[in-house]
Amino acid sequence: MADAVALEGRSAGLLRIRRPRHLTWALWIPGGVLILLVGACFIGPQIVHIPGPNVVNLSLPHVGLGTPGHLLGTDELGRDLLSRSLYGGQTSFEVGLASVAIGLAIGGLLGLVSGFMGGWVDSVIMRVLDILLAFPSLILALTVATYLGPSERNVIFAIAFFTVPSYARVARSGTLQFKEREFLLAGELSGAGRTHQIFRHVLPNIWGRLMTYGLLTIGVAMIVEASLSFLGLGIRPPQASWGAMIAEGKGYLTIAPQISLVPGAFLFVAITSLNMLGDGIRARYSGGEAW
Amino acid sequence: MSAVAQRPEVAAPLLELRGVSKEFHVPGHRTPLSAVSDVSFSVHDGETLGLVGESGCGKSTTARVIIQAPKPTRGQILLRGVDLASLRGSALRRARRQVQMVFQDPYSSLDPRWKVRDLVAEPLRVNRIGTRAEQVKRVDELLHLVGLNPKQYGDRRPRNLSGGQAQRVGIARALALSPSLVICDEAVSSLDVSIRAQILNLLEDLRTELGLTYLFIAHDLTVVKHVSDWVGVMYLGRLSEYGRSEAIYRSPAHPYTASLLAAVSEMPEADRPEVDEIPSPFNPPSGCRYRTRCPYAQAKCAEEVPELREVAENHRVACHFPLIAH
Amino acid sequence: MVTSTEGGIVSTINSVAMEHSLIVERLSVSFKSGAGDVHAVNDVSLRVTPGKTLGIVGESGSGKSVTVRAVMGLLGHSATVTGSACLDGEELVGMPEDQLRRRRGIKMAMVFQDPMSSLNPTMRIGSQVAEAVRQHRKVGRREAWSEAVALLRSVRVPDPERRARDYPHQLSGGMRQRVMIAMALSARPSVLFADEPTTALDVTTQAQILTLLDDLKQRYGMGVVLITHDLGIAARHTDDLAVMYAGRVVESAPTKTLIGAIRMPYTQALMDAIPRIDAPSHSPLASIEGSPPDPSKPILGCAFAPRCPRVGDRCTTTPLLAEGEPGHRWACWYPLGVDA
Repeated sequence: MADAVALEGRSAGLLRIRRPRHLTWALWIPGGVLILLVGACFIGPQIVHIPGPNVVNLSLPHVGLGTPGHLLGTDELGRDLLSRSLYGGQTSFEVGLASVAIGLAIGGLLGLVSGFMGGWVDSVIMRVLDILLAFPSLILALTVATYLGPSERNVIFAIAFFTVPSYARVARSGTLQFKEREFLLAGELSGAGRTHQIFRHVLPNIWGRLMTYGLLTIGVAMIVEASLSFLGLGIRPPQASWGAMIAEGKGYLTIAPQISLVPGAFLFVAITSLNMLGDGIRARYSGGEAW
Repeated sequence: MSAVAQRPEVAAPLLELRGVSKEFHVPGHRTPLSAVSDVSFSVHDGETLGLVGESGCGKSTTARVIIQAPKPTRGQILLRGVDLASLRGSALRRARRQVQMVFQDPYSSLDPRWKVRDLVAEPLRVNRIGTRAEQVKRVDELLHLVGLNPKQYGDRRPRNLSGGQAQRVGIARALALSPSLVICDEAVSSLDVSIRAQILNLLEDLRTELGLTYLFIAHDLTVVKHVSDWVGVMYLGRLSEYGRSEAIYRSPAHPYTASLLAAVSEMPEADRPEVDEIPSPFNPPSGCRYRTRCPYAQAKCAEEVPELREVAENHRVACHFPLIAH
Repeated sequence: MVTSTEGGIVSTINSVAMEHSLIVERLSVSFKSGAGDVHAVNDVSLRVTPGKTLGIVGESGSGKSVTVRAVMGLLGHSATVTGSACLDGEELVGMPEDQLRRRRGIKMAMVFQDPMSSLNPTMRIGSQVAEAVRQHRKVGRREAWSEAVALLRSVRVPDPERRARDYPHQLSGGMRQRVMIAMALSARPSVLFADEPTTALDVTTQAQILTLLDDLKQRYGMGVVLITHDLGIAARHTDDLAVMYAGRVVESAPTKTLIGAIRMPYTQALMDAIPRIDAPSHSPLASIEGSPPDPSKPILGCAFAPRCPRVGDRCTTTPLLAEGEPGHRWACWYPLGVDA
């Protein structure tokens, strides 16, 4: 039982009581909603019989919610909105996850190296990233997406590209914090090389905070994807994505608001859950990370 | 000018510092911070040198400079006659393996995510010493050596250890590469009195058992007394007194050493100002750096830097008016 | 959750309130944890006299800091506090948080081990002390500042007018601790708790800070509670002593009496573990082998028995803290220097 011992001793100026380890509702609720949502998007269409996302039925344009066979209605071409929302969700989640994974890998590595090496390496890397960071992120993504042309893969690259600097900053500040700790000096004394120090000591210690930040930015990435698609620079029709669907419905907001509102609601639930989950995890981590 | 504190014996010292200085450039200050200034001393095999002084006197910087993290601004650091400051890359890494360090805060010197077993094995693994099985065996030996049962503690992480246990792990780790010199940088300062006694006894047992040589850095003269053969007293980056431990404790020659001793003895000191502070290391006093706090300071002390000179056999002091006649 | 004390104890306390500023009676603290309750403090009784220093001595985990934090009401909701702590006749255990907070500033103050973490690095120390002054009294900024300078002078900060404009990082550790003491003094508390105030400081500075505390308690007639793991320090700078082990007081007496005739083997072991300046080089220290018991596990008998050189048959039953000689209490079946 280390907790009670930790109450005294050490350089503790204030009393430290560690947070309980068990998951709290702040993690369960958004986590559960996300699992449901991801499950519905990726597995749902396989087990429940719904029309394909691109099946056009011009005889049934923009029918409302609750229509038999089209639970969430249809769009202007008579395509099933439930089906399109689920398939569109696949695209949105894919873009969110993939762009964050790529951004995290590149940015995290740059930040680690930059913080660990210091000196001119640090200066060069951080100055270049600062320049990137100075551009408004959406405009940056817009530029890249325009240059690469609209497609799911290019949207992922565009979003990953503009998130690299922020991941690098998070990784670098974590690295700097641990660089002061004597265990790195102890490692150096025992002959450990830089690669060992970075990947065996620094990375595991900042992993938690990188992951938390990553989780929080999945939501941002999904919003950017939606924005790009809304502007016609993201997912190319007829492929569905929440942002593209919202864009498609914008001309029919007065006569068939569900075309935009249904994917909008999905997006809202997904982003809110992601943010809540990220905040919950961060709150828990900030208790344990200090050790 | 450096006065090399050499001993009459012919045996080459294990570690020798010759005129070592370290300056830091701190943003916002025009003059560099002189953390260590012209320090020379030597440490011989099997003997312990205690380095004492108040915080900010440069004793910890001296330790860091010895292990070349950071490198000294000037001077030589000879480990078995080889100047560490001249080595780079893998040659430095190899040479430095002979010097290991035990730190003040055991929790800070152990990676919180690693298990005790892996922490102790790390030096063996990164240097590819022995097979996997041999490493496991060696780790068990090392843990036994520092008084920890590998079965009970091997799989714990640092946060599940008490301060004393964590410091034992730090010591086991430092011993893994069979170093010739172990630098203990305030290694017992943050421990409770009872645990401190345990760790001090452990360090002494290891010294006799393994023939270790220590550079023992501490601010507490009583602790240093227990472990040291030689003592160096540092003040504001300079070595003010150096010699055999008994001589220094019996008859301190430098007024600063005398005041440090008075502070730890039960006797209150009459002529000591109630509040005195170390002057800024950015702008140390001219001449003798202690003169601003010294009750015996005279005009000469402001004008001339006192050299470290012999006042008795194996006893050197940097003072114009030492407390013992020579 | 807090259980308040029975009326009987309170009334007896009020009758002796003149003599003692703080009376802690049978205070116990336990923490909830997954593995069962952790009993950090058991049945601790203490008395603090105005103008005197009570030393609480013990190893890490002995419960000395938890005791003081329980008295100050700093433990939060995870702790269950029972028993009584009476400050100038007012019961603190069970007192609502807002009232406690007011008492914390005015009647009791605390100085911690690490002054740097308690000071705001971006504020001049004079402003921080002045802010502390303004928390207790409605005075103007200018008046608060001059009060702050006066406080800094009273804790012997040299050249206080100039130093008040310094930031914490410009001060040495000893000076920062003086600033903390000045802030603690701003409301003239009746009790000042000092939790290892000198552990992070140099030996020379330690002596200065402790001498300052000695001086201040007499000047302001304030009771001081000095928490330390070093019996040597406590012996020199306290009037009364309570030695704690595993959450209990195991020996207590006026300092002179206790140091003159240590009864509890644990106290003796703490004394012997202190390095001596007159010991020859490489002489071994008397250390207490083993480590204190795990507070989450029930302790049967005397908690010190597994580490005790004088352990005997009776140690399987818990010895009670009882007055063995006038004013001298110990909890041991086989006390030193007393024939059983």
